Amino acid sequence: MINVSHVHYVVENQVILHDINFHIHMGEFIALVGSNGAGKSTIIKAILGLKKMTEGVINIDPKTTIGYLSQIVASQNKTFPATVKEVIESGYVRGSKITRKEKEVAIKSILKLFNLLDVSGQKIGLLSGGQQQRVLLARMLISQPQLLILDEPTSSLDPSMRDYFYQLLKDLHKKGSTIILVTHDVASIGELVSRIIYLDQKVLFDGNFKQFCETKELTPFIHTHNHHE
Amino acid sequence: MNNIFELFMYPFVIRAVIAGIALSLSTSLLGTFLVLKRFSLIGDGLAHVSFFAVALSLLLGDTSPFISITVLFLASMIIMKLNESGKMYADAAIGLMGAFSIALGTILIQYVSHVFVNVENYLFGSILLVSQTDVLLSVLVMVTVGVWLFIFYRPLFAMTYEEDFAKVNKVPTVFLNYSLAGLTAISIYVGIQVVGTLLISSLIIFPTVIAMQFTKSFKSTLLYGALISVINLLGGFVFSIGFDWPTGSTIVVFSGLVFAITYVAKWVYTLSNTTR
Repeated sequence: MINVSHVHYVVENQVILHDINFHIHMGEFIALVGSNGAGKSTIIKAILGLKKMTEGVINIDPKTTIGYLSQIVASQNKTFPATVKEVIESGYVRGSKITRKEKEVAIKSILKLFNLLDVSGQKIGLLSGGQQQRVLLARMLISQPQLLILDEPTSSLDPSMRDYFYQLLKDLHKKGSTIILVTHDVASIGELVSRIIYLDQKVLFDGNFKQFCETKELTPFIHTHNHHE
Repeated sequence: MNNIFELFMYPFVIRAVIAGIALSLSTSLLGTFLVLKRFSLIGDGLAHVSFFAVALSLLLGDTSPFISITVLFLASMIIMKLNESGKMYADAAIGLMGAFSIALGTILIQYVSHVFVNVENYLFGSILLVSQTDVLLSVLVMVTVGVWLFIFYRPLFAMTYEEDFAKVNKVPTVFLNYSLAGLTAISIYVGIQVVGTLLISSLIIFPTVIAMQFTKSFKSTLLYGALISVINLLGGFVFSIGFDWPTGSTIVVFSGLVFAITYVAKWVYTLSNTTR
Protein backbone atom coordinates (compact mmCIF):
# COMPACT_ATOMS: atom_id res chain seq x y z
CA MET A 1 0.00 0.00 0.00
CA ILE A 2 2.78 2.43 0.99
CA ASN A 3 6.42 1.93 0.17
CA VAL A 4 8.99 4.30 1.65
CA SER A 5 12.39 3.75 0.08
CA HIS A 6 15.71 5.43 0.91
CA VAL A 7 14.12 8.71 1.98
CA HIS A 8 16.42 11.51 3.07
CA TYR A 9 15.38 14.97 4.17
CA VAL A 10 17.93 17.69 4.78
CA VAL A 11 17.13 21.33 5.63
CA GLU A 12 19.92 23.90 5.74
CA ASN A 13 22.54 21.16 6.17
CA GLN A 14 20.60 19.65 9.08
CA VAL A 15 19.63 16.03 8.59
CA ILE A 16 15.99 15.53 9.57
CA LEU A 17 15.53 12.07 8.03
CA HIS A 18 18.27 9.65 7.02
CA ASP A 19 17.70 6.66 4.76
CA ILE A 20 14.16 5.82 5.87
CA ASN A 21 12.81 2.52 4.56
CA PHE A 22 9.59 0.76 5.43
CA HIS A 23 6.59 -0.85 3.81
CA ILE A 24 3.03 -0.60 5.05
CA HIS A 25 0.52 -3.23 3.98
CA MET A 26 -3.21 -2.81 3.68
CA GLY A 27 -5.02 -3.42 6.98
CA GLU A 28 -2.02 -2.73 9.21
CA PHE A 29 -2.23 -0.57 12.32
CA ILE A 30 1.09 1.20 12.74
CA ALA A 31 2.28 3.30 15.66
CA LEU A 32 4.95 5.73 14.55
CA VAL A 33 6.82 6.71 17.69
CA GLY A 34 9.86 8.76 18.61
CA SER A 35 10.93 11.77 20.64
CA ASN A 36 10.12 15.37 19.71
CA GLY A 37 12.05 16.38 16.61
CA ALA A 38 12.63 12.76 15.56
CA GLY A 39 11.10 13.45 12.14
CA LYS A 40 7.72 11.72 12.65
CA SER A 41 5.57 14.57 11.32
CA THR A 42 8.02 15.12 8.45
CA ILE A 43 7.73 11.55 7.17
CA ILE A 44 3.94 11.73 7.58
CA LYS A 45 3.83 14.92 5.49
CA ALA A 46 6.02 13.25 2.88
CA ILE A 47 3.64 10.26 2.68
CA LEU A 48 0.73 12.69 2.29
CA GLY A 49 2.53 14.56 -0.48
CA LEU A 50 2.66 17.77 1.58
CA LYS A 51 6.46 17.86 1.77
CA LYS A 52 9.01 17.09 -0.90
CA MET A 53 11.91 14.98 0.29
CA THR A 54 15.55 15.66 -0.59
CA GLU A 55 16.08 12.11 -1.82
CA GLY A 56 14.21 8.81 -2.00
CA VAL A 57 10.90 7.50 -3.24
CA ILE A 58 7.50 7.15 -1.60
CA ASN A 59 4.99 5.05 -3.49
CA ILE A 60 1.37 5.00 -2.49
CA ASP A 61 -1.48 3.35 -4.35
CA PRO A 62 -3.14 6.30 -6.16
CA LYS A 63 -6.60 4.82 -5.61
CA THR A 64 -6.17 4.94 -1.83
CA THR A 65 -8.46 7.41 -0.09
CA ILE A 66 -6.70 9.10 2.82
CA GLY A 67 -8.05 10.66 5.98
CA TYR A 68 -5.67 13.01 7.77
CA LEU A 69 -5.74 14.54 11.20
CA SER A 70 -2.96 17.07 11.62
CA GLN A 71 -1.04 17.96 14.74
CA ILE A 72 -2.34 21.52 14.71
CA VAL A 73 -5.00 21.93 17.35
CA ALA A 74 -8.11 23.65 16.07
CA SER A 75 -8.36 25.86 19.15
CA GLN A 76 -5.45 27.89 17.79
CA ASN A 77 -8.03 29.56 15.59
CA LYS A 78 -10.78 30.64 17.97
CA THR A 79 -12.37 33.30 15.77
CA PHE A 80 -12.86 31.24 12.60
CA PRO A 81 -16.57 31.47 11.78
CA ALA A 82 -17.56 27.87 11.14
CA THR A 83 -20.02 25.62 12.90
CA VAL A 84 -19.24 22.09 14.01
CA LYS A 85 -21.56 20.75 11.31
CA GLU A 86 -19.91 22.81 8.57
CA VAL A 87 -16.47 21.51 9.53
CA ILE A 88 -17.62 17.88 9.61
CA GLU A 89 -19.45 18.31 6.30
CA SER A 90 -16.22 19.55 4.69
CA GLY A 91 -14.93 15.99 5.13
CA TYR A 92 -16.91 15.24 1.96
CA VAL A 93 -14.82 17.74 -0.01
CA ARG A 94 -13.26 15.03 -2.18
CA GLY A 95 -16.74 14.28 -3.46
CA SER A 96 -18.83 11.22 -2.82
CA LYS A 97 -21.48 9.20 -4.57
CA ILE A 98 -24.02 9.37 -1.76
CA THR A 99 -27.02 11.68 -1.90
CA ARG A 100 -27.53 14.87 0.10
CA LYS A 101 -30.05 13.11 2.32
CA GLU A 102 -27.65 10.22 3.00
CA LYS A 103 -24.97 12.75 3.88
CA GLU A 104 -27.29 14.42 6.39
CA VAL A 105 -27.99 11.03 8.00
CA ALA A 106 -24.26 10.18 8.12
CA ILE A 107 -23.41 13.56 9.67
CA LYS A 108 -26.11 13.16 12.29
CA SER A 109 -24.95 9.70 13.22
CA ILE A 110 -21.28 10.74 13.50
CA LEU A 111 -22.32 13.75 15.62
CA LYS A 112 -24.11 11.29 17.90
CA LEU A 113 -21.15 8.89 17.93
CA PHE A 114 -18.77 11.63 19.07
CA ASN A 115 -21.27 13.16 21.50
CA LEU A 116 -21.41 16.40 19.49
CA LEU A 117 -25.10 16.52 18.60
CA ASP A 118 -25.86 19.32 21.10
CA VAL A 119 -23.09 21.54 19.76
CA SER A 120 -23.55 20.90 16.03
CA GLY A 121 -24.66 24.52 15.41
CA GLN A 122 -21.97 26.03 17.66
CA LYS A 123 -18.93 27.92 16.44
CA ILE A 124 -16.07 25.39 16.53
CA GLY A 125 -13.57 27.83 18.05
CA LEU A 126 -15.70 28.20 21.17
CA LEU A 127 -15.56 24.49 22.04
CA SER A 128 -12.99 22.93 24.39
CA GLY A 129 -9.78 21.51 22.88
CA GLY A 130 -11.06 17.97 23.33
CA GLN A 131 -14.38 18.71 21.65
CA GLN A 132 -12.61 20.39 18.72
CA GLN A 133 -10.36 17.37 18.32
CA ARG A 134 -13.47 15.16 18.17
CA VAL A 135 -14.93 17.41 15.47
CA LEU A 136 -11.78 17.04 13.39
CA LEU A 137 -11.81 13.28 13.91
CA ALA A 138 -15.40 13.20 12.73
CA ARG A 139 -14.45 15.30 9.68
CA MET A 140 -11.73 12.78 8.86
CA LEU A 141 -13.94 9.72 9.30
CA ILE A 142 -17.14 10.96 7.63
CA SER A 143 -15.95 10.04 4.12
CA GLN A 144 -14.81 6.58 5.32
CA PRO A 145 -11.24 6.73 3.95
CA GLN A 146 -9.22 3.52 3.56
CA LEU A 147 -6.04 4.92 5.10
CA LEU A 148 -6.12 6.98 8.29
CA ILE A 149 -3.10 9.07 9.19
CA LEU A 150 -3.28 10.71 12.61
CA ASP A 151 -0.56 12.97 13.96
CA GLU A 152 -0.67 12.92 17.79
CA PRO A 153 -4.46 13.00 17.90
CA THR A 154 -4.88 12.42 21.63
CA SER A 155 -2.83 15.42 22.78
CA SER A 156 -5.86 17.47 23.79
CA LEU A 157 -8.17 14.66 24.88
CA ASP A 158 -8.89 13.82 28.51
CA PRO A 159 -8.04 10.24 29.64
CA SER A 160 -11.58 8.85 29.28
CA MET A 161 -11.99 10.36 25.81
CA ARG A 162 -8.54 9.11 24.89
CA ASP A 163 -9.44 5.54 25.85
CA TYR A 164 -12.70 5.86 23.92
CA PHE A 165 -10.71 7.15 20.96
CA TYR A 166 -8.26 4.23 21.08
CA GLN A 167 -11.21 1.84 21.21
CA LEU A 168 -12.62 3.57 18.16
CA LEU A 169 -9.33 3.13 16.28
CA LYS A 170 -9.31 -0.55 17.29
CA ASP A 171 -12.83 -0.98 15.85
CA LEU A 172 -11.89 0.83 12.63
CA HIS A 173 -8.84 -1.41 12.28
CA LYS A 174 -11.03 -4.49 12.78
CA LYS A 175 -13.31 -3.24 10.01
CA GLY A 176 -10.34 -3.09 7.64
CA SER A 177 -8.93 0.45 7.90
CA THR A 178 -5.21 0.92 7.56
CA ILE A 179 -4.00 3.24 10.30
CA ILE A 180 -0.79 5.17 10.89
CA LEU A 181 -0.81 6.77 14.31
CA VAL A 182 1.93 9.17 15.37
CA THR A 183 2.12 9.04 19.16
CA HIS A 184 4.28 9.17 22.29
CA ASP A 185 1.81 6.98 24.14
CA VAL A 186 3.32 3.56 23.41
CA ALA A 187 2.20 2.13 26.74
CA SER A 188 -1.51 2.70 26.01
CA ILE A 189 -1.51 1.91 22.32
CA GLY A 190 1.12 -0.87 22.21
CA GLU A 191 -1.31 -3.76 22.63
CA LEU A 192 -3.68 -2.43 19.96
CA VAL A 193 -1.26 -1.89 17.09
CA SER A 194 0.11 -4.51 14.77
CA ARG A 195 3.49 -2.83 14.41
CA ILE A 196 5.61 -0.11 15.96
CA ILE A 197 8.10 1.97 13.99
CA TYR A 198 10.51 3.89 16.22
CA LEU A 199 12.08 6.85 14.50
CA ASP A 200 14.98 9.07 15.46
CA GLN A 201 16.13 10.58 12.16
CA LYS A 202 16.34 6.97 10.99
CA VAL A 203 14.28 3.87 11.70
CA LEU A 204 15.73 2.44 14.92
CA PHE A 205 13.05 -0.19 15.47
CA ASP A 206 10.40 -1.87 13.33
CA GLY A 207 8.46 -4.70 14.96
CA ASN A 208 5.60 -5.60 17.30
CA PHE A 209 4.93 -4.35 20.84
CA LYS A 210 6.36 -7.46 22.50
CA GLN A 211 9.63 -7.06 20.61
CA PHE A 212 9.58 -3.32 21.40
CA CYS A 213 9.36 -4.01 25.14
CA GLU A 214 12.15 -6.57 24.90
CA THR A 215 14.49 -4.05 23.29
CA LYS A 216 16.40 -2.71 26.27
CA GLU A 217 17.40 0.58 24.63
CA LEU A 218 13.72 1.45 24.08
CA THR A 219 12.24 0.60 27.50
CA PRO A 220 13.11 4.07 28.94
CA PHE A 221 11.05 5.60 26.10
CA ILE A 222 7.91 3.71 27.19
CA HIS A 223 8.34 4.72 30.84
CA THR A 224 9.30 8.35 30.21
CA HIS A 225 6.38 9.04 27.95
CA ASN A 226 3.94 6.99 29.97
CA HIS A 227 4.94 9.09 33.00
CA HIS A 228 4.32 12.32 31.08
CA GLU A 229 0.89 11.26 29.93
CA MET B 1 -33.20 64.87 2.07
CA ASN B 2 -35.35 65.19 -1.06
CA ASN B 3 -32.28 66.47 -2.87
CA ILE B 4 -30.51 63.18 -2.16
CA PHE B 5 -33.28 61.17 -3.81
CA GLU B 6 -33.42 63.58 -6.71
CA LEU B 7 -29.75 62.87 -7.29
CA PHE B 8 -30.68 59.29 -8.17
CA MET B 9 -32.27 60.64 -11.34
CA TYR B 10 -28.84 61.43 -12.74
CA PRO B 11 -27.15 58.73 -14.85
CA PHE B 12 -23.73 59.29 -13.23
CA VAL B 13 -25.26 58.65 -9.78
CA ILE B 14 -26.97 55.47 -11.01
CA ARG B 15 -23.65 54.36 -12.55
CA ALA B 16 -21.92 55.03 -9.23
CA VAL B 17 -24.51 53.05 -7.26
CA ILE B 18 -24.44 50.06 -9.64
CA ALA B 19 -20.63 49.96 -9.73
CA GLY B 20 -20.47 50.45 -5.97
CA ILE B 21 -22.92 47.66 -5.15
CA ALA B 22 -21.26 45.26 -7.59
CA LEU B 23 -17.84 46.09 -6.20
CA SER B 24 -18.90 45.84 -2.57
CA LEU B 25 -20.38 42.39 -3.23
CA SER B 26 -17.22 41.09 -4.93
CA THR B 27 -14.78 42.54 -2.40
CA SER B 28 -16.78 41.33 0.60
CA LEU B 29 -17.11 37.77 -0.75
CA LEU B 30 -13.43 37.60 -1.66
CA GLY B 31 -12.60 39.39 1.58
CA THR B 32 -14.03 36.58 3.71
CA PHE B 33 -11.42 34.18 2.32
CA LEU B 34 -8.63 36.77 2.35
CA VAL B 35 -9.28 37.79 5.97
CA LEU B 36 -9.52 34.20 7.21
CA LYS B 37 -6.40 33.18 5.29
CA ARG B 38 -4.63 36.22 6.83
CA PHE B 39 -4.12 37.63 3.37
CA SER B 40 -6.29 40.71 3.69
CA LEU B 41 -3.44 43.22 3.26
CA ILE B 42 -3.19 42.13 -0.36
CA GLY B 43 -5.59 45.04 -0.99
CA ASP B 44 -3.02 47.53 0.28
CA GLY B 45 -0.18 45.80 -1.53
CA LEU B 46 -1.97 45.78 -4.87
CA ALA B 47 -3.05 49.40 -4.36
CA HIS B 48 0.66 50.25 -4.20
CA VAL B 49 1.22 48.21 -7.33
CA SER B 50 -1.46 50.29 -9.05
CA PHE B 51 0.87 53.31 -8.77
CA PHE B 52 3.38 51.47 -10.94
CA ALA B 53 0.52 50.51 -13.29
CA VAL B 54 -0.53 54.18 -13.63
CA ALA B 55 3.08 55.23 -14.31
CA LEU B 56 3.46 52.49 -16.93
CA SER B 57 0.15 53.45 -18.60
CA LEU B 58 1.23 57.09 -18.80
CA LEU B 59 4.61 56.16 -20.17
CA LEU B 60 3.05 53.98 -22.85
CA GLY B 61 0.36 56.56 -23.55
CA ASP B 62 -2.42 54.05 -23.02
CA THR B 63 -4.75 54.74 -20.08
CA SER B 64 -7.23 51.96 -20.86
CA PRO B 65 -7.92 49.46 -18.04
CA PHE B 66 -5.97 46.75 -19.87
CA ILE B 67 -2.47 47.72 -18.67
CA SER B 68 -3.51 48.35 -15.07
CA ILE B 69 -5.49 45.12 -14.82
CA THR B 70 -2.65 43.11 -16.37
CA VAL B 71 -0.07 44.63 -14.00
CA LEU B 72 -2.27 44.07 -10.94
CA PHE B 73 -3.06 40.52 -12.02
CA LEU B 74 0.61 39.65 -12.57
CA ALA B 75 1.56 41.25 -9.25
CA SER B 76 -1.06 39.17 -7.44
CA MET B 77 0.36 36.02 -9.07
CA ILE B 78 3.90 36.95 -7.95
CA ILE B 79 2.68 37.55 -4.38
CA MET B 80 1.02 34.13 -4.40
CA LYS B 81 4.13 32.49 -5.83
CA LEU B 82 6.33 34.07 -3.13
CA ASN B 83 3.92 32.93 -0.43
CA GLU B 84 3.42 29.44 -1.87
CA SER B 85 4.28 26.54 0.43
CA GLY B 86 5.22 28.95 3.20
CA LYS B 87 8.44 30.06 1.46
CA MET B 88 7.68 33.64 2.52
CA TYR B 89 5.09 35.03 4.94
CA ALA B 90 2.12 36.61 3.18
CA ASP B 91 2.63 40.04 4.77
CA ALA B 92 6.31 40.03 3.75
CA ALA B 93 5.46 39.07 0.16
CA ILE B 94 2.77 41.78 -0.03
CA GLY B 95 5.02 44.44 1.53
CA LEU B 96 7.90 43.54 -0.74
CA MET B 97 5.79 43.75 -3.88
CA GLY B 98 4.11 47.01 -2.82
CA ALA B 99 7.34 48.82 -1.95
CA PHE B 100 9.09 47.61 -5.10
CA SER B 101 6.19 48.75 -7.31
CA ILE B 102 5.97 52.22 -5.75
CA ALA B 103 9.71 52.68 -6.18
CA LEU B 104 9.64 51.45 -9.77
CA GLY B 105 6.61 53.63 -10.52
CA THR B 106 8.39 56.70 -9.11
CA ILE B 107 11.37 56.08 -11.39
CA LEU B 108 9.14 55.49 -14.42
CA ILE B 109 7.15 58.66 -13.84
CA GLN B 110 10.36 60.70 -14.29
CA TYR B 111 10.20 59.75 -17.95
CA VAL B 112 6.62 60.93 -18.44
CA SER B 113 6.64 64.44 -19.83
CA HIS B 114 3.15 65.52 -18.80
CA VAL B 115 1.41 63.93 -15.86
CA PHE B 116 -2.38 64.33 -15.96
CA VAL B 117 -3.40 62.42 -12.86
CA ASN B 118 -5.78 63.79 -10.26
CA VAL B 119 -3.83 62.81 -7.15
CA GLU B 120 -6.85 63.22 -4.86
CA ASN B 121 -8.99 60.92 -7.01
CA TYR B 122 -6.18 58.38 -7.15
CA LEU B 123 -5.66 58.38 -3.39
CA PHE B 124 -9.26 58.66 -2.20
CA GLY B 125 -11.30 57.59 -5.23
CA SER B 126 -14.20 59.23 -6.93
CA ILE B 127 -17.21 57.00 -7.23
CA LEU B 128 -19.19 59.70 -9.06
CA LEU B 129 -16.69 59.69 -11.90
CA VAL B 130 -16.85 55.97 -12.71
CA SER B 131 -17.12 55.34 -16.42
CA GLN B 132 -19.50 52.99 -18.23
CA THR B 133 -16.55 50.63 -18.75
CA ASP B 134 -15.92 50.60 -14.98
CA VAL B 135 -19.59 49.77 -14.38
CA LEU B 136 -19.47 46.92 -16.87
CA LEU B 137 -16.23 45.65 -15.42
CA SER B 138 -17.49 45.76 -11.85
CA VAL B 139 -20.66 43.84 -12.78
CA LEU B 140 -18.59 41.33 -14.75
CA VAL B 141 -16.26 40.82 -11.78
CA MET B 142 -19.23 40.42 -9.44
CA VAL B 143 -20.81 37.77 -11.68
CA THR B 144 -17.47 35.95 -12.04
CA VAL B 145 -16.90 35.98 -8.27
CA GLY B 146 -20.46 34.69 -7.74
CA VAL B 147 -20.04 31.83 -10.21
CA TRP B 148 -16.56 30.98 -8.83
CA LEU B 149 -17.95 30.86 -5.32
CA PHE B 150 -20.96 28.78 -6.35
CA ILE B 151 -18.80 26.18 -8.11
CA PHE B 152 -15.96 25.99 -5.56
CA TYR B 153 -17.76 26.78 -2.30
CA ARG B 154 -16.96 23.49 -0.53
CA PRO B 155 -13.28 23.22 -1.63
CA LEU B 156 -12.81 26.91 -0.77
CA PHE B 157 -14.22 26.36 2.71
CA ALA B 158 -12.08 23.25 3.28
CA MET B 159 -8.96 25.06 2.06
CA THR B 160 -9.60 28.18 4.15
CA TYR B 161 -10.22 26.13 7.29
CA GLU B 162 -7.17 23.86 6.90
CA GLU B 163 -5.11 23.90 3.73
CA ASP B 164 -3.21 20.65 4.44
CA PHE B 165 -6.47 18.73 4.94
CA ALA B 166 -7.73 20.14 1.63
CA LYS B 167 -4.53 19.17 -0.19
CA VAL B 168 -4.68 15.60 1.13
CA ASN B 169 -8.26 15.46 -0.17
CA LYS B 170 -7.12 16.47 -3.66
CA VAL B 171 -8.59 19.98 -3.53
CA PRO B 172 -6.89 22.06 -6.28
CA THR B 173 -5.48 24.51 -3.72
CA VAL B 174 -2.99 26.07 -6.14
CA PHE B 175 -5.72 26.94 -8.63
CA LEU B 176 -8.05 28.21 -5.91
CA ASN B 177 -5.38 30.39 -4.29
CA TYR B 178 -4.29 31.88 -7.61
CA SER B 179 -7.84 32.46 -8.78
CA LEU B 180 -8.61 34.16 -5.45
CA ALA B 181 -5.61 36.44 -5.95
CA GLY B 182 -6.47 37.11 -9.60
CA LEU B 183 -10.10 38.00 -8.89
CA THR B 184 -8.94 40.21 -6.01
CA ALA B 185 -6.55 42.03 -8.36
CA ILE B 186 -9.33 42.86 -10.82
CA SER B 187 -11.70 43.89 -8.00
CA ILE B 188 -9.01 46.19 -6.66
CA TYR B 189 -8.65 47.89 -10.00
CA VAL B 190 -12.37 48.75 -9.93
CA GLY B 191 -12.21 49.54 -6.22
CA ILE B 192 -9.50 52.13 -6.68
CA GLN B 193 -11.89 54.19 -8.80
CA VAL B 194 -14.42 54.10 -5.94
CA VAL B 195 -12.47 54.50 -2.68
CA GLY B 196 -8.94 55.13 -3.94
CA THR B 197 -5.67 53.39 -3.21
CA LEU B 198 -5.45 54.43 0.43
CA LEU B 199 -8.82 53.03 1.40
CA ILE B 200 -9.27 49.97 -0.82
CA SER B 201 -8.34 47.49 1.93
CA SER B 202 -11.37 48.63 3.90
CA LEU B 203 -13.74 47.15 1.29
CA ILE B 204 -12.05 43.79 1.75
CA ILE B 205 -11.64 43.78 5.53
CA PHE B 206 -14.60 45.64 7.11
CA PRO B 207 -17.56 43.51 5.91
CA THR B 208 -16.02 40.24 7.10
CA VAL B 209 -14.80 41.49 10.47
CA ILE B 210 -18.16 43.16 11.13
CA ALA B 211 -20.06 39.97 10.19
CA MET B 212 -17.71 37.89 12.34
CA GLN B 213 -18.86 39.83 15.43
CA PHE B 214 -22.22 38.07 15.36
CA THR B 215 -22.11 35.09 13.00
CA LYS B 216 -21.36 31.49 13.93
CA SER B 217 -21.23 29.83 10.53
CA PHE B 218 -19.09 30.38 7.47
CA LYS B 219 -22.07 30.64 5.17
CA SER B 220 -23.72 33.34 7.28
CA THR B 221 -20.42 35.25 7.44
CA LEU B 222 -20.32 35.31 3.65
CA LEU B 223 -23.97 36.36 3.32
CA TYR B 224 -24.03 38.96 6.12
CA GLY B 225 -20.63 40.25 4.98
CA ALA B 226 -22.08 40.89 1.52
CA LEU B 227 -25.17 42.58 2.97
CA ILE B 228 -23.12 44.73 5.36
CA SER B 229 -20.81 45.71 2.52
CA VAL B 230 -23.73 47.02 0.45
CA ILE B 231 -25.21 48.84 3.48
CA ASN B 232 -21.81 50.44 4.22
CA LEU B 233 -21.46 51.56 0.64
CA LEU B 234 -24.95 53.02 0.34
CA GLY B 235 -24.81 54.52 3.84
CA GLY B 236 -21.48 56.17 3.15
CA PHE B 237 -22.70 57.33 -0.25
CA VAL B 238 -25.84 59.00 1.12
CA PHE B 239 -23.97 60.67 4.00
CA SER B 240 -21.27 61.92 1.68
CA ILE B 241 -23.84 63.60 -0.51
CA GLY B 242 -25.81 64.92 2.47
CA PHE B 243 -22.79 66.47 4.16
CA ASP B 244 -20.73 67.10 1.03
CA TRP B 245 -17.92 64.89 2.30
CA PRO B 246 -15.51 62.89 0.07
CA THR B 247 -17.41 59.70 -0.87
CA GLY B 248 -14.61 57.12 -0.50
CA SER B 249 -13.63 58.41 2.94
CA THR B 250 -17.26 58.60 4.11
CA ILE B 251 -17.86 54.96 3.08
CA VAL B 252 -14.85 53.89 5.12
CA VAL B 253 -15.78 56.03 8.16
CA PHE B 254 -19.34 54.67 7.97
CA SER B 255 -17.91 51.11 7.89
CA GLY B 256 -15.69 51.92 10.86
CA LEU B 257 -18.69 53.14 12.85
CA VAL B 258 -20.70 50.03 12.01
CA PHE B 259 -17.73 47.94 13.15
CA ALA B 260 -17.44 49.90 16.42
CA ILE B 261 -21.17 49.48 17.12
CA THR B 262 -21.15 45.71 16.47
CA TYR B 263 -17.92 45.26 18.43
CA VAL B 264 -19.29 47.10 21.50
CA ALA B 265 -22.66 45.34 21.17
CA LYS B 266 -20.91 41.95 21.13
CA TRP B 267 -18.77 42.93 24.14
CA VAL B 268 -21.87 44.03 26.12
CA TYR B 269 -23.73 40.86 25.11
CA THR B 270 -20.81 38.62 26.17
CA LEU B 271 -20.42 40.53 29.44
CA SER B 272 -24.12 40.31 30.29
CA ASN B 273 -24.10 36.56 29.56
CA THR B 274 -21.04 35.86 31.73
CA THR B 275 -22.26 37.91 34.70
CA ARG B 276 -25.69 36.32 34.64
